[in-house]
Amino acid sequence: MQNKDGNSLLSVGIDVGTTTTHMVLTKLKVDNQQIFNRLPNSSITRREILFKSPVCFTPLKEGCIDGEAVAGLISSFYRHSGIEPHEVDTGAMIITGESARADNAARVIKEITRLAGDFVVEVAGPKLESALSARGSGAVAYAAATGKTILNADIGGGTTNVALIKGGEIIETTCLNLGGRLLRVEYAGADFLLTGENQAAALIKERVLADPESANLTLEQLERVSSLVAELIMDYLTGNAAPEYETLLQALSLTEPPSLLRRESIDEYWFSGGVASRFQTKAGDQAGSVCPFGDIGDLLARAIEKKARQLNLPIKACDDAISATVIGAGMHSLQVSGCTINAETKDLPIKNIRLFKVRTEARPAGGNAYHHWLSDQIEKQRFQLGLKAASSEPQAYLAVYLQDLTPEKLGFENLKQMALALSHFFSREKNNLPCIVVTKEDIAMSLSQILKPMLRDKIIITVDGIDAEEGDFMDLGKSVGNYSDPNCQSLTVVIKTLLFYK
Amino acid sequence: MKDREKDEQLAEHLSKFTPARINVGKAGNRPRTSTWLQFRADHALAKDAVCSNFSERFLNTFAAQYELPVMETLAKSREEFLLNPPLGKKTSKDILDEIVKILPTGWDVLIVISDGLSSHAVEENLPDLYPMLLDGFDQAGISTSKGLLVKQGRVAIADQVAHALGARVALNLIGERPGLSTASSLSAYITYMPGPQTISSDRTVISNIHKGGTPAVEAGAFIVKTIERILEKKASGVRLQALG
Repeated sequence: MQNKDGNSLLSVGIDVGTTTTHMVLTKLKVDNQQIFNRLPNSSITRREILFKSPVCFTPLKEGCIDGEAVAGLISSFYRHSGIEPHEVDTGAMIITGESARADNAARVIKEITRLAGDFVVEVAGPKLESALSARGSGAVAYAAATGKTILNADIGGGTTNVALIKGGEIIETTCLNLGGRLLRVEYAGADFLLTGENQAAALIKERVLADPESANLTLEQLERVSSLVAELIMDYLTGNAAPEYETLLQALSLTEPPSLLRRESIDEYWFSGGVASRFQTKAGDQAGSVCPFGDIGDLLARAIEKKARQLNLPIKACDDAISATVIGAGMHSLQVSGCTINAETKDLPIKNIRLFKVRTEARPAGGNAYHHWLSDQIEKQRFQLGLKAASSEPQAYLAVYLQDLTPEKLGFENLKQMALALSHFFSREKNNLPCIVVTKEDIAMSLSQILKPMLRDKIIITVDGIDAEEGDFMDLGKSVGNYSDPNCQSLTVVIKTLLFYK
Repeated sequence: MKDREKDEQLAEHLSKFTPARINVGKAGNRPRTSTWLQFRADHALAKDAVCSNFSERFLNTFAAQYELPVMETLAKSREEFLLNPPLGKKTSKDILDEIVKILPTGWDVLIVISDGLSSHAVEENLPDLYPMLLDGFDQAGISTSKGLLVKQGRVAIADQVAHALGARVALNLIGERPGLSTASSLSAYITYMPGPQTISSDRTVISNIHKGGTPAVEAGAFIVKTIERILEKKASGVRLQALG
């Protein structure tokens, strides 16, 4: 997976959104950070955009994504970039917002991923989108550098993806089912003709319009709708919902509603997404130019600016706002593991590994109770997912992600107890797939040493340095990093979700 | 949020990047009493680490549990060791003869555990590191003697003893010189075919082993892998590095 110049990876980001589809190609540079006498470590040290496609409308056919047309678009993007899909090492294709609801989304995305390159993963899901757009907008890097608490809201056509960032860590992600394409309209002389709307539209219209069923809307009516949408979004972001909107906001939230938002603790509100890209634009002189994209996006942008002024909130549209999600997908979906891990090159790459997150205890109960305690957590998750216990499916890769390992839990005895519980679980799996364990803390090599005699006839893969809290699936890539010591290697890892909207 | 609170938030954020004493405030143009006391306490810990011998508790629990023999160097006391550090590099012929009697010869690896400049580092890390080494060497089919506990030891002592015992590899787990942020950091120095000719560049080192650095268990697994490679390549130190 290493390119000719050593340690750079070519990464693609593709965003198929409610309104627009676009693509970026970026070069990620992976470097060794060798501090004298310490174990080396690799990380992504530079991200450079090589190609950015124009922003195109997402082709739809009868209310669904037109898979063939999207594939055609992506092929043409690649042609223009002068880069072949097979040259791409990694990347993510994200199907966002309202598009992910469309019935054929899962099928379409699979098809397009094949076209985009072998190592490109498909991701979706409101929480991951929120995280990627916050990284792509630059809000996460800015928060890390300044220590500020930033709220990033990516307002697209279908949804508003929200991430709360504190000191460089994303601490909460939420998603609201409101966006600039709530109503699609066409200027018809004096009034606007309603040409389409999304699911949330009815809930909004019945509150502000005398005749919610009407297909003809005046500019004033559109402004009333936009104003309510702006108010709801701002209420959602500031965590200060007016009492009459509380239930409505709950109904419109695609995730758990925000719980950590405290207006007084937020230093800056950042906006990205298509709607934010229309901040500070002015409506043209001609009647009808208030809706240049055939939707209420521009009206919404202005309504949000007005609302923010009323609330006296410091808001800011990030540079290149419309591309935040696609840049996030292309540049920030990849993680590089720690260097003391256990994995054989011949077993890699492995795609679509289901992650089971397991809570760990400070002092394991020891003996059988502890074994069951780990297996029980996984079986419970399997049950909730509707999966069979003790999987015998031939291709159902799974990994155990050990959560909240504090330094006190990393002693030899504790680790051995954890390994016993892990081996108890893996030895009951009725297949010959590798036993994969993932952690954030630097213990992969020691864990594999302890596990080896416990799982003699199984392949063991242990990877550390990975933050998998946000994901449900994982792809393990190949080795990166030029270590002089062959006992050191780092893997590229992508954590993803494949949860489509219902 | 008030400006003051914001400043505090930023200062707190910056403090996370360094164990250094920043964001500690002041009283007039001097440090606060609490800051000063903390500094004195940390300094005392570092001094204690340097001045301490292995504790009785450690000798009676860990060392006894694994039945580790204890050995002295030419430095007969902590004071002598600190005043005349080169004494910690060697032991007397008599002691060496004793050791040769207790420990059989011809092992792949001799494990030496030295207090160095911090017996705390040894006491803190060995209970997690040592069993990782024993299991790891066993799995890798590498033979090793019992660990040899050395009082007033420096890095080179392992080379002398390993040479006398005819071990192919000397592994010295030794307490690092304490700083004001941790007094419990351990290093592993590894020499292939050690002897009187051994110089610093012959040794491979894995350092910064403590709770805030490389965890002891992970260091243990990595040391085993490193020694496997050293035995295979028949080289350590810069020669090993050059092999890539």
